[in-house]
Amino acid sequence: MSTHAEFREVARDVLRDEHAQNALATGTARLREGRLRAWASADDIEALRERGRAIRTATIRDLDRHLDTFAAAVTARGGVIHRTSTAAEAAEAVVGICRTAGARLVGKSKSMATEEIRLNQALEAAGLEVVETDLGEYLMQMRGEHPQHIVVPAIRLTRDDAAEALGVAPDMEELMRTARQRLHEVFRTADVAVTGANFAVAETGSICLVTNEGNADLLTALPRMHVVVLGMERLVPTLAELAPLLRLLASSATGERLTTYTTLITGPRRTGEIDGPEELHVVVIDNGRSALRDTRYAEMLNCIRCGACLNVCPVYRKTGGQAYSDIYSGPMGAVLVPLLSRLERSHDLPHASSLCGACTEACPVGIPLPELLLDLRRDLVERGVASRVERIAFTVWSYAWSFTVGYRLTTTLARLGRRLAPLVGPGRVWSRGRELPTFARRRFRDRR
Amino acid sequence: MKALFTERARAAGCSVEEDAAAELEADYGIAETGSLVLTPSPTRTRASWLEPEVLGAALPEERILPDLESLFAVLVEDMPSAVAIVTGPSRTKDIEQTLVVGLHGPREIRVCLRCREAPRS
Amino acid sequence: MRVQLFATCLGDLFFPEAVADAELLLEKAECDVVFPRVQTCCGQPAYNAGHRSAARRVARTFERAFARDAPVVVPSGSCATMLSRHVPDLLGCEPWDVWELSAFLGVHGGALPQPNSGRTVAYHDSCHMLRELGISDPPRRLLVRSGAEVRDLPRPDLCCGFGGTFSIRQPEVSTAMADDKLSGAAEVDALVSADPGCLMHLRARAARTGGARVVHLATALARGVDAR
Repeated sequence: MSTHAEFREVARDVLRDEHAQNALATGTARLREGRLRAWASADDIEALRERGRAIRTATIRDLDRHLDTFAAAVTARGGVIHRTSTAAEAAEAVVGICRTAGARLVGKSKSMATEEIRLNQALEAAGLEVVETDLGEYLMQMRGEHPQHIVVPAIRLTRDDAAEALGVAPDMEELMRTARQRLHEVFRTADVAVTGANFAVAETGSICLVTNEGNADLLTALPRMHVVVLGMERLVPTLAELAPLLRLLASSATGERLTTYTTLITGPRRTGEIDGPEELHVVVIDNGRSALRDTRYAEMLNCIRCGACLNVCPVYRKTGGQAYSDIYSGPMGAVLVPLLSRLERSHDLPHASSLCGACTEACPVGIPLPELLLDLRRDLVERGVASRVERIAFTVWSYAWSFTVGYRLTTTLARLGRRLAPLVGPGRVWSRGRELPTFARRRFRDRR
Repeated sequence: MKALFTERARAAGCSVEEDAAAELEADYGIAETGSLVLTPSPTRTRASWLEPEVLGAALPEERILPDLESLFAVLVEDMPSAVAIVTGPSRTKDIEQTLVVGLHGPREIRVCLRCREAPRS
Repeated sequence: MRVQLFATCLGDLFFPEAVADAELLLEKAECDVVFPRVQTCCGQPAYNAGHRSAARRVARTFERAFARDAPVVVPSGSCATMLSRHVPDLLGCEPWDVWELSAFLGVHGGALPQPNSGRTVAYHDSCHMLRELGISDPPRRLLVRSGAEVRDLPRPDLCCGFGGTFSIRQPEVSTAMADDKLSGAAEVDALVSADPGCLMHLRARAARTGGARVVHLATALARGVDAR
């Protein structure tokens, strides 16, 4: 997984883009309000969140067993399971399946798991054509960009941007007609459908896909082969436990009771059926997940990818998705990306948060994101990733402030040297956009 | 149950009538969410509920189940190859958060609770 | 009642008047205020930056300075959070009876002066105080009792962008967040905060851009939002 080491640089560009700022502020606000309305109208949202958290936690705890049950159920229904460990291995598996099928055109339904394993690049490198069929994702693909939001990939685009991407007039009717025509052509002519999975039910071997557009449904109706890229933690033990998770996902992601198209796919098409894939392959990806299960960060595997934390995050609201990574963004991305890649490569992400806690409050399954960020920051220090200068500075500071005499001495020196502060280090950074605070001539303690 | 289904299906953007034309018959309805449940068969494609611009669906009242759990309890013993739980017409808010219906699936869904004529499929 | 006052490092160094105002309010509430002399800081700056041993070292000064037989009152939402939520675990010690100032005054406060009659204010929730300590009503109620008309900020749930070292690591995002907060307070006489961190950051940005007047809650209550 590639990551950004230049959060600040990307953020700076987005901050200068007035149009992006408006789009992010209004987009996230509407999604947030939608969730709040849906939560307020639910019977007992707190009980539902608690239930969801309990189901996710219990599932992750016993994931190996559920994976075995799931694999057996998929096989019994005529599907094929491919278990992979690294991202590259997973991408290779999908490429191999498409090659064996002699595929040329691959239609895709929006999937973060496929972004994670860089599937589009791998398929294209193998000479296949790949087309995204979720409208927002299709627009981003046309623009050569990565998704900006895990639920609303084109959150920053205007009608004009969309029209430009499609090469049509900026009229909503026209846009929709064009997109519909082109994407229906994909549904009809694609050889392989690649989707992710919002959930996978162990007892029945079912893949659960949710979309509002219905693109996943058409995509899995017409092409002759369906390849599912399944993050191993998406499992739900039973259908009965799926119900509360679907309610949580729909209400938290888009403020609905249920996503418009909530579809369960169990095996390939059956004898006598007229459409549906003849072959169903499920590529299970690990990509660092199993290593998290026995760590402090296991709870991150409870994430149901609803995007609620992005929509309330004041930092995401200002920076959009690109500053975080090509894949996951916002608070969940700031935690997950460092966990799935090497901490060194994404050292700025655990710090890309003011730790305000709005994310935890919005998380349907109550993942303690700020605490996980704090622990990642600790890891950065303890594993020696944090800069030497920073470590020395905090160590010296902590010794000095262990005693009142050191506290007095250092703060007196700081007060006397205040004129120099705008010239060096943190003072310089601070004072570029803010006045430096003035040390009081007498501390509170000196006035008593 | 019928009243709740009607309220929720309308909230999701469907029209619900006692008597209307229907292309197909839904397997079940879900009152909690106002959804139609559709499955493929040797006489019915998966595309059949996605391709019409206006979808008329018959839903015999007695097939309305209270919630997702009751649907799953009915299905779990013998899962069909595909179960589509459809809640309102196909919609997107991908551009400027503006709601547009009918991008891929139907722009309109008419649920008919008491169809006299048997649907064709 | 005897109470122990924790000035916090920012309060001691940058906002001593606000701490003095907090002391005054506590005295008006008939508290016997003691100021343990060996206090420095709760360790939060290091803790939030991931430097746990540095944080532990500094937090020990708090442990040495404060007794457990009387409430500790803190004119800072985030330091109160650090002390009640993190320090006992960090040091492996018994917790203290820690109170954020407005929460304490909400329960134990007596009659308040009314220096803010005819004044409109907006109250900025400090994130930790709002979400971890769940304190949102007491400061607003106290402001109303002080005579002020309290108006809502457009998005009270949004952080002001301070976030400790975040303000240095992401200065552009940090100040952009402050701008949103300050522009929401353009129509009131003062933006009131119960957190020296938010106060320092918002005031520093407002000083650069000519934004709203930002006042510590203790000062607003003790001497009014116009006090210098």
